[in-house]
Amino acid sequence: MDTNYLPLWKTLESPLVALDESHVELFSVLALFLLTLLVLNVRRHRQGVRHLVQGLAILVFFYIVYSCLGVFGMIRNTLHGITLIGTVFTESFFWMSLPVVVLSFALMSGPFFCGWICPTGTLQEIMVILRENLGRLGARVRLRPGPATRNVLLFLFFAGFMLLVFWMGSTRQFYVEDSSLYWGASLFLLLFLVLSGVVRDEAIRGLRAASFWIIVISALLRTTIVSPVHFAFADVRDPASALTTLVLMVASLFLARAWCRYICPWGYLMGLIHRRSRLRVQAEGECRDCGVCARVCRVGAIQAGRVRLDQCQFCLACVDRCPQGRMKVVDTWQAKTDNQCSTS
Amino acid sequence: MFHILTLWSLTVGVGSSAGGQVLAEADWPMWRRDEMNRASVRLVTADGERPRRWSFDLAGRVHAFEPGMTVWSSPAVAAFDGRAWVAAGCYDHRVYLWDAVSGELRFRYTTGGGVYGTPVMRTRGGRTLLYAASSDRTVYALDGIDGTRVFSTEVEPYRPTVGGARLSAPALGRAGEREAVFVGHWVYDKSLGANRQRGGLSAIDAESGARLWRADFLDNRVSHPVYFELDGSGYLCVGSEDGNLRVLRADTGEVVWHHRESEIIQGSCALWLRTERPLVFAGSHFGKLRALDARTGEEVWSMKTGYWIAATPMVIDEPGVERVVVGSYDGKMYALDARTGAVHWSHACGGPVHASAAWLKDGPRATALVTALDHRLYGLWMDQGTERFSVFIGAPLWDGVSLGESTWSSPVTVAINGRWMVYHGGYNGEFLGLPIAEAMMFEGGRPWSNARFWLTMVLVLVGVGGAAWLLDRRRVKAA
Repeated sequence: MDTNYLPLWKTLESPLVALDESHVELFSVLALFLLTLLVLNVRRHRQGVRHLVQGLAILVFFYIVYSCLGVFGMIRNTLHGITLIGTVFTESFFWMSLPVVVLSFALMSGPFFCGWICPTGTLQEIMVILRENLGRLGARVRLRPGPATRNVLLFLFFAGFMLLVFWMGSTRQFYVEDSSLYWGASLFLLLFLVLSGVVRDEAIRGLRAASFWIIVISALLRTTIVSPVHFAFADVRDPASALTTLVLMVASLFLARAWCRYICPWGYLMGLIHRRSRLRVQAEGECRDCGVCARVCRVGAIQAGRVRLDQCQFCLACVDRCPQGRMKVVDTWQAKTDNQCSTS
Repeated sequence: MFHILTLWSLTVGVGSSAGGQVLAEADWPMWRRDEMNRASVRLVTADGERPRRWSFDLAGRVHAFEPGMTVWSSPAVAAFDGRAWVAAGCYDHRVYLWDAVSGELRFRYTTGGGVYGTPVMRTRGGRTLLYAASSDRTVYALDGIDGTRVFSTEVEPYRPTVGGARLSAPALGRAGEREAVFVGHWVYDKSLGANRQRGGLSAIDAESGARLWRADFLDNRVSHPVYFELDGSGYLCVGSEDGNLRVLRADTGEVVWHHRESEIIQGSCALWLRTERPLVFAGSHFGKLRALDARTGEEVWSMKTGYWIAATPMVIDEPGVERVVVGSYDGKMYALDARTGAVHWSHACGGPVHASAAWLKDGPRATALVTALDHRLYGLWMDQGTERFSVFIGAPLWDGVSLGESTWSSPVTVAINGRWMVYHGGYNGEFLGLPIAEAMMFEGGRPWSNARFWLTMVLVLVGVGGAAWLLDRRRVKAA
């Protein structure tokens, strides 16, 4: 006999009781997205405002949001939520709600989640700002490490990471789930290959797709791989995730947002959506090839004055800095409607 | 029918090994069955069928729930309706009841949250009720035959900003004239706006589910309560992660005495009542096992282990053997003299001991069964502490676990129609019913190794490096 059902009163109540955190975090994330949507239109000091929003997002994620908003977890949760449609609606709602919010906003207003909200991106950005300041300081004292020094430094970090992993593994202290360490090690390797000139930056951007499909397949096989920032959401101690977070932060000291460039599976999905999204950054008018836009783009999404939609994170730094005001946020859906109207 | 069964069980009982009554109808009133936490019972079924090895696998569907945490609660075993039944809660929000002999699923009942505490069962007037405390803050009373809900009582009201909740295993006892279910509860809310935690213990009527009383503690998780009777009155002993061990009157919830530890108390307590000075035994994360006077809370003795004690102690009171047995996170099992705390023996297991021991006497020598973080089930001879057997009970679903942050399943031992079984919810997602005789024949499982991790790491790095190189070559050709 199978009494695998909820009593009616519990079914009605379950969105609030069984999954009781879901509405709190969903409302918080919705509020955060709406706030971001508003401040996207601020023109003065927009990058400063963006950093404020990133700080706020970190607070929301670490103190209010319970379910994992990590770049792996959202993919896994979405797939799991889909499998529950038709059987356990409330759980399906719980697992799918946050990823659906992120994807819907991306479709409507561009992938600003990556550039303005994503905690993984924010942590990297902190390191990029640190690197820039260190660079300025280094220039002032005439200390500029060459490529060889940089590679040695990177190798030392990589070796330190591997030793730490070995020590943690052999002492069996605390692995909750350790697969994210593969991503950490891969990031170090890719960084090393790029910085040493073995492979080129733009050539290996396609690896994000592989990362995405690995997460999808693992989720379908019901194998959980926790995200780098998972440790901040989980009730349990998750040093593997923490260590991978440390790796992606260190990697950003060498190459800005290296994780977003080469490995982030969620970034790949956002890139796909960006190709169909309503808002996007587009170059219009004559370009003087000053290269400012490419320099300020921290993910290297602008090449020869053109914005690569699959890489753009909608931080709008290029829009703010372009001396000719050539970079603009355009409403592609509106443009299509106008074209259709004029055609008819 | 019942009289025939009773007569038959007595006959079988006489013929069985010495010690322990053989029962055709047996309750499981609290998480380790009795106040001594022996988690052991002898049962007989109407058909006399001897149990065999079985397992129930949950491994395929665990990722939806809390990773790295509890898979199964500790089991509860009872006899009613002419058969022996084993029940366990699970973090998949369900309560399961299986035929203890065959492993056939009788029913499963879905609650609104994880069921981390052992369900309890009792039979009155021919009707068996199974009580399960779910993390949806509700105690469910289910019919033992068909699993339908008889009543459910919310012990902590829901409020919109409250986060999760954790309910302890219920305990059955008497609150004055009424039979009651006692359950510890803890709700927590880590949101910025309404950061609040609250722990406590509630008593509800076992027949109707009506709330009888409620005692509020501090803001921490509450361990499984133990009900005991002393000097004609009912009491509850309950630990809490606020560091207090409390003894309360079962009829009013009034705290009789409390003992403050410097560290959290994660496990439950054990009681030794059949002595001139009844004692309460409890361990804490400070690593000390203390024996306290059950009437006053005065410390009688204490013994420091090498690390946390998160497990619940077990008391053995056999002729000439008065021991208290407890596992520690220092990786050792300790057997102490219950009167003095002198260490009788200690045995090093392969990892921190998280589980509470179960008692087994299938011959002249008794055995204590326990599981450790090396994922092995150990059978230790009680007289010397030497290893009788150890069996690998499966690789964990996750590669490892966080120390001290999980609620763990502990084994229980049951003799059914003369054959001893151990029931255990494994960390591999599998609920196992294993005959002790087979456990002894088991060859040791493979030792823990992270070779697979490193092999995968090498393959991943080679694969990523190769893919990057190929992508780069393709780009060069395209250019």
